[in-house]
Amino acid sequence: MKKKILIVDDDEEICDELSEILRGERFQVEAVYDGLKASPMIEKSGYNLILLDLKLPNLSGFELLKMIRQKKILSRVLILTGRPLLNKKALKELAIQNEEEENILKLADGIINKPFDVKALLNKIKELLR
Amino acid sequence: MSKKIKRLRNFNAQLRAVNERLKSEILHRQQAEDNLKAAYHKLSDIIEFLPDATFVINKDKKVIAWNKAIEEMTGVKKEEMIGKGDYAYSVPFYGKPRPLLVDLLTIAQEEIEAKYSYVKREKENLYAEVFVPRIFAGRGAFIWIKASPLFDDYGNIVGAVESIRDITDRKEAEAILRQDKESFENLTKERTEQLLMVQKELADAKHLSEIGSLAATVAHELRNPLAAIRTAAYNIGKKSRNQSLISHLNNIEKKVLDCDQTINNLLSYARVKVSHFEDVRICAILKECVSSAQDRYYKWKVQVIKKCNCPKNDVISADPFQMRELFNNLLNNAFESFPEKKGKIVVRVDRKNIPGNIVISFYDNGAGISPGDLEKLAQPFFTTKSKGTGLGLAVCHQLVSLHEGTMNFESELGQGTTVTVTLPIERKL
Repeated sequence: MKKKILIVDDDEEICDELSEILRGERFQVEAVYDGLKASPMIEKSGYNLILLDLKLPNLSGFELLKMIRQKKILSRVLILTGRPLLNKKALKELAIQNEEEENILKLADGIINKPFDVKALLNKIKELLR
Repeated sequence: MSKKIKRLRNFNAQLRAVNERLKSEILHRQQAEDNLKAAYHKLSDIIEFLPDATFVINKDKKVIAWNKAIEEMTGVKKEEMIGKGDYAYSVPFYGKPRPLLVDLLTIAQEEIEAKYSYVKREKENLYAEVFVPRIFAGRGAFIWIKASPLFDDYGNIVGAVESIRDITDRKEAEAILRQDKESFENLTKERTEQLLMVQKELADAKHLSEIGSLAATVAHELRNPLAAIRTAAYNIGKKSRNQSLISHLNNIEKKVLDCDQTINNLLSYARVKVSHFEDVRICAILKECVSSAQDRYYKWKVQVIKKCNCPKNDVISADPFQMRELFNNLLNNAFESFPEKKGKIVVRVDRKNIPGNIVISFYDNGAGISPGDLEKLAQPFFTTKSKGTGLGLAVCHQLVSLHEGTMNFESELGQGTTVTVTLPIERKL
């Protein structure tokens, strides 16, 4: 049976391009651009993997990740983020990420920074779904 | 006969009168002499008990008075000094005969005047100050001296008086005051400088935090489209059977990464003042950076040699993000040093050269840097390239100094460049 992947990203073009790549790799792929809309899908649909952006409309990636772990949903979560490559202190100072969010991030199965190398991303996805 | 007797009697009476006059004159003179003696004694006593050390010389420069205070000051008794000439009075002060201030009253001697820290002439008097180490049994003292000539009734100089006052306490107080004033002035100057520096830092910080927020927003907003472009290029590559497309797609990929590096530099430059130290494996980070640089410059014929002379899994305390940023920039510079797009880069890591430090060097046999440009390397926005923000090395300098390290450049035009980064292995608390 095909493994199910959900892409949660407000950038529609990323969702489109990534969906096509992942379908080519024989995954069943769905994409959603809004955090709030993603929430019930995650709860019901039993995705093997969620590719999760952090900055999302209506409900942030941090909130979604926290919910996934609190509700013991079994999906693996790989964060795909465009946030600046800076240390914790700088992120905090710029109000990009506070301590609570930093702790939430530890619940993820991995973090990949945009613009990602597609081959490296595919390797990571395959490793998580093995 | 009687006439003769009468004349004799007369003469006798005259003689008696003269005798009486002489007697009274003698008495008068004796009285005057006694008065003079009394006055002299009175004067001697006054001199004797003057609080200032005082001595008097006559016109032959022989000592005629040497008071109690000067006995105390010099340790030399009056009996040993009275009547002495040939500058004997200077010996207790200077250990050898030489003119004193009192001798300068009549003859100006610049050579002697120069020996006093201060000499002033006022009417017929001379004033001076000097430190004399021998007096007061070797304790030494700062003395204030006044020398005045003595005149007779006709205005002729018949001698001179020198009085000497111990002003050591006053001098010490003055020195303390001067020192206090100086240190107060220094403190004021120092504090003012500190204040100005803090003001500047505050202004910089405000400026940087604005740039920082802007840079962070721009980074966030640009990374998403860059990711979309990179993924789209990947999809085109997958679909196309046309091999000639591949090089165009690689160009897109390269430019996406260039943009990413520019974003990182801008961010680092703006946010560079915060570091988060953790244990990092420098060699592992360097290896990643070298391999991603080779990917970026895959078309170039550049040989990269990496020599890591560290124990396996060796860690240093550093900010891993900032280390990546540092190495990426230095590697980019090394690659960009080859105008012909070919050459050799040697990256070395050593931790034995300087104890407690790790030394990372980047050598390239590229174009080299002119001495004039070498001086400007740390300036932000300085670049010799037609493209580039000129932030790369400014960021590197800041990152290295945040890590309390140093960065040195050795370069020769046409020969190549070596950049040496030295970083402490552990953080000082």
